[in-house]
Amino acid sequence: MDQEAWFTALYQAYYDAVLRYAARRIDPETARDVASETFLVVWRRRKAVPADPAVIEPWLYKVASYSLANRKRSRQRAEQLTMHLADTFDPAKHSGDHADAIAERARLTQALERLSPQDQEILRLIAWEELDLAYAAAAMGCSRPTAAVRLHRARRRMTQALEAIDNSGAAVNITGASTKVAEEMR
Amino acid sequence: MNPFRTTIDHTRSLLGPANPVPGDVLTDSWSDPEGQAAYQRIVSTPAQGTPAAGQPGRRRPLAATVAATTVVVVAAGLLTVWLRPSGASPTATAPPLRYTLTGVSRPAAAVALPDARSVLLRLARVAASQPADPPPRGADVGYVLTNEWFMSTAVAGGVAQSTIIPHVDQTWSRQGGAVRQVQRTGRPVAAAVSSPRALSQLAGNAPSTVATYPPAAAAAGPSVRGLSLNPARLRAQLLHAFPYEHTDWPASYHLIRIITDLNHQVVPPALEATLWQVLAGQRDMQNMGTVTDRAGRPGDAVAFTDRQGVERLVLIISPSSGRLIGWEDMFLRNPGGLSITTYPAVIGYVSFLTNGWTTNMTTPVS
Repeated sequence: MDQEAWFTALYQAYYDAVLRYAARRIDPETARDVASETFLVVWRRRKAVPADPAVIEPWLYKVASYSLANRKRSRQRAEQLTMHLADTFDPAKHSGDHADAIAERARLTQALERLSPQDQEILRLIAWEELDLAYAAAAMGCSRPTAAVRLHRARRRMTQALEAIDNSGAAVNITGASTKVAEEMR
Repeated sequence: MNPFRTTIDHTRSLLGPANPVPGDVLTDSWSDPEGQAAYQRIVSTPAQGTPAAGQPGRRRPLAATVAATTVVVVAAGLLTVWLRPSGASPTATAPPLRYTLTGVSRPAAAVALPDARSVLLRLARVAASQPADPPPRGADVGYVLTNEWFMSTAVAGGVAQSTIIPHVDQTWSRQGGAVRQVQRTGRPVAAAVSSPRALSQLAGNAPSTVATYPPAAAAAGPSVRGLSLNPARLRAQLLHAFPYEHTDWPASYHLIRIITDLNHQVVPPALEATLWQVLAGQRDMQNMGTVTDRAGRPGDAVAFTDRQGVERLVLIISPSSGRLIGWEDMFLRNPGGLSITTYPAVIGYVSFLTNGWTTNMTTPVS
């Protein structure tokens, strides 16, 4: 298979997944840039792409994570994530109760953001990218046992963060999303 | 019941509602206008690479940066099926350097060469004897200037047409791991071979690529600061480093690739010495004798040749400093279909010209 045919097949197979991965972590506009940059690496470093098809997806996530780290660092867009995503995607499509779904999502997002980046990443890779442990480990550049330990600890800390939020008695701070929720609930 | 399965299921159940981009969103985005525009932008840039696993191929030696640019090339034995030289114009290639090795009349063309262990160990001792050269106070940015030249092969209608693309790369690496790279690419050269002098003229051109990477992104390749001075540990680090960790290249080939990438940073003499010790432990490293490189500097040449006797990577190391001063990529014979008529053929080279410390990420070392 020549270079372009090989790349096209890969692009068609994984672009959506990489774009979703990025969009779950940064605003949609930048997510497009991250996806594009990730595939530019594929195009330019073909020999670095794993030969094993099963490992390609986590490898792409790893490449995308470098691009994300670069952009988050320089532009600090991560804070805007909730707001942008709330604007972009219609949660009603994915939940029977619109307001409850948004409030629950905000609660989870807030708890998630209290965790370390490493904890957040292992949880997201398992829950959102739906990777199994071995592939999450590949995406994070660690061994499977290490990923298992990280997942175990991250889950525990996530549960603690949720309990802390629930016990605080304060309203969940959903920043950008809170405005939108409030507007939609009127 | 698999305990991990339970953990995974629970994690998904817990965090699923927080997923801001469910899996049924952004489907077929590769085919929407933005996805297609990105695709077109990508494939209009020079590619690198070669298909298939297990075959050493052409590569672009770049600093440890993911978005670094590149070039394509044809890998030994890989495009045989598709490429036919008929219809393609002969491609000019850089003349092979003149290697001198006692008892071997044409080291550049010989597949069998003596092993390089003693040469590499000598070079390791030379490198280890160099002053440490730490960054001066207030100048913690390493700077490396390279002149490069690569053959780029495009395939259309079953015909391969190759051109030569010259580059000048400047790489700044901060001690903390951030990297900035400026690349200037010349026009493809179809009829003449570019020289280091011609390449140096590119320095006045506008950059074709300017990329900056924070420390995390520099994980596209190992930073010299995190590497061990223990040969066994260093070898393992290099073989597991991004972005080549999933390749199944022969170890020597893999090590040469990552070593040439590493040298886009300022490599401390002690680490350089350890690199040569690592290669000295590779039984398939070959001694190609002595050579004068393309910048006119004396060098000792060591090489790896693939099993098929087609592709050879050559490292050129200064006998007086133990520092890597260049590397070359050669085909000893036609892997099939290339529009090159004379072998051995140099299909790419890099000369490391300037190496030192500077105060910031934009100022070169003169």
